[in-house]
Amino acid sequence: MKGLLKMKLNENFLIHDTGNGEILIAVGEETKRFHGIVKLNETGAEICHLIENDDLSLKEICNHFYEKCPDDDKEMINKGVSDFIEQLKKINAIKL
Amino acid sequence: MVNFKIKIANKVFDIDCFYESTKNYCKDFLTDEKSDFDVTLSEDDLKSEIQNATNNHLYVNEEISALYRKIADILVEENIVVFHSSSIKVNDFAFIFTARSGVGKSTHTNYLSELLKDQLTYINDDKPLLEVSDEKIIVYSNPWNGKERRSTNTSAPLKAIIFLSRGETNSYKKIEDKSEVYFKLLSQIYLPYEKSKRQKAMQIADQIIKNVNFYEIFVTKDISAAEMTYERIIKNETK
Repeated sequence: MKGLLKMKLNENFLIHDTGNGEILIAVGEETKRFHGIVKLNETGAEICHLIENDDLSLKEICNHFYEKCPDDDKEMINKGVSDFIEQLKKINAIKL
Repeated sequence: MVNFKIKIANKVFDIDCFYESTKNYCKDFLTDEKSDFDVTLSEDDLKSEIQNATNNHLYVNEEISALYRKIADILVEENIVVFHSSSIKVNDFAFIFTARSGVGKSTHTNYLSELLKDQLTYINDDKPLLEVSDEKIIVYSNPWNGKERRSTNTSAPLKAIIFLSRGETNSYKKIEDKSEVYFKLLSQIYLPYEKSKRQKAMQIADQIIKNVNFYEIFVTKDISAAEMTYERIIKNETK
């Protein structure tokens, strides 16, 4: 069912705190496919940490932000989270 | 097998490899001291250096690259990273010049050498090692010194890292907002394949960012550019 599939951060990606923001970088086998560095904003970093620590679905990630930011528009949250997850999928940073 | 020992960044490596030419490549760094690390190169190490290796391929150059990678992977655990750059020593301090490939960092250090003569020593013209501790960063040489093979078996405390670009005129600026240089710096550091080692290399990069002065220079292709670098940056940093 859409949005309910559990996701996890690919263990061949590394979140690194530079002291001036966090970045996402490939390690091991993934370095053969992805050579870039993803600069994460605060929300992006939070999503990466959420799926690094737990297997979460898109719906669960959105629920996390609904609770954290109750005044924010839910549609905006859904779109922001979905778009970011799509970007992570494109670089193979997410395992389903 | 060929066996020899080399000393780089005060660490002794006992090396087993296939080609005498690799020992010859490392000749300025040979030692008889007691080893700290053993490095054995296998055929698989050499094969992994090139794609589509054929059975008849001679792996002479691949062995030199494979050895560099193995040693770099060991050194990262000792707080030492490889930094792709041209490094020089002036008045007992090290300066590092880095740029995208083909911009002319070696040309610029050539002009500096012409200007400063015996006052300047090349530490390593391609892949110097940076040892990072709480107190300071030391730049060391090693055998992997670029096409022109310019290096001296020496070391010096690092004073500044200078990002170089081509310019119509010569100009320079000290980089105050270090977040500007993070990605440029990281792109020049050898990041190991293995996760924990790559993480360590990135932590070392963070320390380099915190503890070193950075400059950006735009330079013409003549000696006036070297004069600016010396007068405005090197002289100030070594006062």
